[in-house]
Formats: sequence, C-alpha cells, structure tokens
Amino acid sequence: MTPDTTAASDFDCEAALAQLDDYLKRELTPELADRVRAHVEACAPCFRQMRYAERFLSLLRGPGSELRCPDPLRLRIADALRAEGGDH
Amino acid sequence: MTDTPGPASSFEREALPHLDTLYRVALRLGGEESRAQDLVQDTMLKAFRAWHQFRPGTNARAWLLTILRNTFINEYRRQKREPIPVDIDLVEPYIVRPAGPDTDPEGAFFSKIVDARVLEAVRSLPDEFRDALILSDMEGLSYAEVAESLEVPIGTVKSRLFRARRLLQKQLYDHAVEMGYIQPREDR
Repeated sequence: MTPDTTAASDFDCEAALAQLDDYLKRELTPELADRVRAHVEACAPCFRQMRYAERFLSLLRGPGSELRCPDPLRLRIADALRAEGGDH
Repeated sequence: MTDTPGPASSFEREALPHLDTLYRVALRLGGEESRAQDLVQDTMLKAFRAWHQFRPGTNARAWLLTILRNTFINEYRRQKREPIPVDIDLVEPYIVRPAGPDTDPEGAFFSKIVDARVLEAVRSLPDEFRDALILSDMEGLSYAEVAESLEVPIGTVKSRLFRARRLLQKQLYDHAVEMGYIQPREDR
C-alpha cells in the first residue's frame, strides 16, 4: 500500500483516506480536519487521492446547480394552494 | 416574480423559499421535466395538507425533502411494480478504490465527463445511495440535514455516501476509459 512518509502527523494513510471525503465536505471537527490536512500535505499519494476526490465532488456539484423553479410552476402551485383553501 | 395576492401564510413563508431546491432534486431524481414539475407540485400540496404536523422551528427544507422523496419512491414503485428493495445498509460494503490512478492519478478525466452522463450514472445507483448522494453532493446539504431528510441516522448517511461515491467513481472511471479520456490500467 501507499507508504506513510509523514512525521508531521500521527495519521497514517488509511486513516487519512477514510476521512478524505468528509474533510472535503467540511464535515470534520477542526481538530480532525487539521490532522487530515497535516497528513495529506506531507504525503504525495494521499495528496493525489485528495485531488481525485476533489475533482469528483466538484463534478457532482455541476449538473443542474443553476436551475431555478420555473415561474409557471410557481404560479401553478400558488393556484393549487389557493384552491386548497385553508389559512395556515 | 411570485406576486401572489392574499396575506403570506406561515406555510408560504416557510415552504416557498425551498421551491428551487425541491425542483432541482426532483429533476435529478426523475429526469423528465414534466414529471419533476408534477412531483414538486404534489409535494407542496401534501406538505400544505400536513402542515399541522410540521414543528415550527425545525428544518422545513428537510421536512419538504422527506415528503418529496417518499412521494417519488411511491410513484416509482406504483409505476414499475417493483418489489420493495432489500435493506441496502445490510449489504456488505464493497470498497472499490477505483483508481484512475496509474495514468490519471489526480482524476483530470472527471472534467471531461458531461453532465448528462453524470446524471445517468447517479440515477443508476440503488435508491438509497442515489438519494443520499443527490442531497449531499449535488444539492450541498450537510450530513445532518441529509439524515433528517432521509429519516436515518447520520452514520447511515455516511456509509451510504461512502459506498455511493465509490460506485459512482468506478462507473465514471469505466466510462472515461470507454470514451478514451484515459488509458485503461494494465493489470498484467
């Protein structure tokens, strides 16, 4: 497997890779994020894996992100809600 | 844009701001424009009728997404007459580290893949994986909000996402090889 070349972190590659997606999604505690960052910055194979994961996640953010609910649909919904009556 | 007459009800204040999210998620789930629009409208009507069940101060977006998802699944089942799938979380996790690696270790090929192909691949995932991935990685919800929307623990969301991403990466990698964006690995 990939060698752990870092002395700066107590994290090995396996531990860092397991947290990579969550790190990129900013879902880790600051402490854990620091440890992942320290490892990745000092480990070339893990750094490449991070770039890989980053590009993958950025690809997923693409499709449809610019879309907004069309106005005709908003109007249709407003009409349907009115027809439904009630006063919430 | 939405110049609707009448006093703004609490439902309108809480729910209408999330129409864009609902619409995007519906499109990613289903694909067809008219079907996505119907799904959003159905969701809003159901939410309106069930508004008394919503607890003020809790997350309206997650609540609406729950209704949208359940509606989508029910419609889908009715149309396809498919059996209820097995509990996906009990399926053995398969760790694929599809490593585009040898020839493209940093995944540059991802930028060549067109949106339509990404969506196709996402929709081919098992329902539970697809839903978590759409909400988290496409719509940008936090894990906590995904958990609330899907009504599962956050640990379940994480494990579904983990597996969804690996599956999708493998599919997209294979697609990139097929399209000639990257050279396949020589496994000899």
